Amino acid sequence: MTCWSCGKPPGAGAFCEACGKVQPAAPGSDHFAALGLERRFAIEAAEIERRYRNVQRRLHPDRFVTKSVPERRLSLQRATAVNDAYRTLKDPLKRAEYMLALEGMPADGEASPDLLAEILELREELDAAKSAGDAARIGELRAHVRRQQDDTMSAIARAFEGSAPAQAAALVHRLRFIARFLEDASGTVEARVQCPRS
Amino acid sequence: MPAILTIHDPLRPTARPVGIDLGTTNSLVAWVDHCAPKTIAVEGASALLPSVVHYAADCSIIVGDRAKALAPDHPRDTIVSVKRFMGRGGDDEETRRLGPYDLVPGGSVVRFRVTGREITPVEVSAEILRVLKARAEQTLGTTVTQAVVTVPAYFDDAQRQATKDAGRLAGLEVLRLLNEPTAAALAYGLDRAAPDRRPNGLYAVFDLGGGTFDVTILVLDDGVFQVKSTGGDTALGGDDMDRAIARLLFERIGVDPTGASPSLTRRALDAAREAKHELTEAGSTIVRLEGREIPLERGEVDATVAPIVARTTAPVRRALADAGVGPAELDGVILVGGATRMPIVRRHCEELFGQKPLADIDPDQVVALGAAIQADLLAGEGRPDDVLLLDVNPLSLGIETMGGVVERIIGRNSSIPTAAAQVFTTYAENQTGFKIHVVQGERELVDDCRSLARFELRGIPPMPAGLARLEVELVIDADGLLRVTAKELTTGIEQQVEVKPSYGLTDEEVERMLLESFEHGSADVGERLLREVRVEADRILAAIRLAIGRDADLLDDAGKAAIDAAMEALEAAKTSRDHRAVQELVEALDAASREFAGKIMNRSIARALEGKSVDEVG
Ligand SMILES: [Zn+2]
Repeated sequence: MTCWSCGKPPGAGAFCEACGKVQPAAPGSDHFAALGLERRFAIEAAEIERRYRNVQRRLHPDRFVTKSVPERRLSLQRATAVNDAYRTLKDPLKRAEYMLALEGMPADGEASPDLLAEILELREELDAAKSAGDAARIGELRAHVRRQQDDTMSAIARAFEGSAPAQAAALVHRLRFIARFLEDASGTVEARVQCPRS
Repeated sequence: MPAILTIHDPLRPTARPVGIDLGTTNSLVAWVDHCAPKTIAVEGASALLPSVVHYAADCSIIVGDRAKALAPDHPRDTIVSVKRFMGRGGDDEETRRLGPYDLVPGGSVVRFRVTGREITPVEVSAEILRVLKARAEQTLGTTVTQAVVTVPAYFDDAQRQATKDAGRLAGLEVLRLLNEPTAAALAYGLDRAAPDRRPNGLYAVFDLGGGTFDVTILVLDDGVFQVKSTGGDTALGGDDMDRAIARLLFERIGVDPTGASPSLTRRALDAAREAKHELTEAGSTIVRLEGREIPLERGEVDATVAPIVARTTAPVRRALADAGVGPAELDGVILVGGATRMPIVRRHCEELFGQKPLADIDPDQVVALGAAIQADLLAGEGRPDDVLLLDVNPLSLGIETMGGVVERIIGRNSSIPTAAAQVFTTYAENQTGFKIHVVQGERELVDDCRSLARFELRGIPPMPAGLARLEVELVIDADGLLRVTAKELTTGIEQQVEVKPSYGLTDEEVERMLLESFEHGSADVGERLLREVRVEADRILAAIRLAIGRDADLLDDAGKAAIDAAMEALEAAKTSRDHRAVQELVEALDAASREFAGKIMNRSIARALEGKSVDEVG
């Protein structure tokens, strides 16, 4: 590898060690590399936010307005990739799906009958609470499912750490149902039926 | 060019970037003076230029207070609140609301008929920008060619593109289209008057202007302003309240608003606006309209506008949900826009967020101040590395698929710049073209979303059906504007993409307007020359005053007297209609100040060589 600008070895960072010019992302680098994170499922949300802002501080196109055309183009490419990585990794469900894809494991298997029965029951309870206008019950249901979400995420983390992607895939399936349930149970219901006027 | 204007302070570029708030009701221009943003006086001592443009019968164009005064008598030839028409089609619902204009029906852009010709909102906005540019040049004594122009965060692609076109038409390079709430946050976050009062944290910006409503949730973290979510309504603002109050006034005087003359409509809207302003402070007021005195209580006006204020609720709730935060987690709520002065709006805002909002920076000026800071940062003159804005796209972007269903490609509130690719296959033998319809909005069906553009891909190599694989990439740049590229994957051939914007002007149309604005017939060449020489006169006068203030010691008494006399003569002749006479006096002043200019040049070069800035020395 040589630097596009000075021809010397640029080193592993985003900027050439010899001349300081921004470099293209290393071929085959993934979303974790884009944010300078280790590839693992268990990451604190705050850590992703912190890394994201620090990377953009150096790579965002606003930093390159007065620079040369190739530098501006590279900054745009890298900032776009960083935003893509951020969008994927900050959402635990998308992060898990992405990790499965990296492992070559399809994440769209069949839901187990047990899972379907459980979700169906929760949905019926939610609908009943909603039509009764029972906010306290909705809150309880939400808290209950949130705990399930936390448990499922811990289990997914363990499955990935233990190199058991098939097990992770089944759990990701469960996480997807949980996410959909929480979305329906949250206050976004009103917002989702509203169309932005334009 | 006069010598005094060509002096390059070697340590400072001559052209200055400015920030412009192109508002529905008022427009402002600001710049950064020694790290502090300041607005520039544009209308007498006021920084507010009413966003009103009057097209006179003699083809002259009047902008600002004088245009506003002409509006009641010339309601059709005076365009008020043009921002509401930016990027909209002639048949748009918003276009047909209560107003006095003579509009050309249909079309992909709104066209006003004024004094026998048709003009578009982009051209009207360009007139406002031209005045702001000229005033900034007079005040700063330099040319102004670059600007950051603010737009409502919830503006769609067509509205953003129209704003950028207006800048181009006014001779401005638009460095960035900056979202208004983000600009306001920047001004607050970097407020030098209160550096310790804006700690890192989570903020909401509640921006209710003349025509648009935005709400933005953002994080401030050591100089990085990261927008988490944004929501709003580009057809909700103080103007809607004016219309509701005007309807109330019509009711009181027993006039059917649909039958009212354009002039009466204009006067009723102006009276409504005035009453609204008075009731911000007072509990009651008396409106005069059609020779009648109509008493109004704040309570009844509040009841009239309450449904409009209530329309801010859903966007606020959704923005909070999209950011994944509750109101209690917010460290502060920032108020922006003139309509947030109204007690009913403040009360509503306080209820929504459960806390008292911040309003210590003038809500009319805060957006322009933020835009100036961003202009300064982008031009590389501001703080080196510690401030950065990370914004999002406000609306989801999708592609029309079979059955008129939207396939979402980029979700709303994605950090920009962003890109997403989608692969399509051909469905016919030897198909060489492909059509893609891009829409913006949150609904499932194409008909319920806003059509952005139709792209036609050409030059696909002929192949059996389903073999050609087209990768279409949608890119949203840092201005929030869309670009589309396409590639055939098996051959790697880049496709030509022909864009047909659903709303707005084509590139060729903007180009033609630009040419027309240069030529504009031989009839008003004299008028143009006169205006240009007046601008030049103002610039040289401002530059010399600045130079005398800084380097008076370089002038001897005789030199000073000669310059003073030439300045006085030019000042007196500036209002003359004879452009040649003014030009001659500009040249005389230039001659009188040439020696002085040379001395300043030598001094600044000497200082540059010493490595000290003029400010340090002086
Ligand atoms: Zn290098």
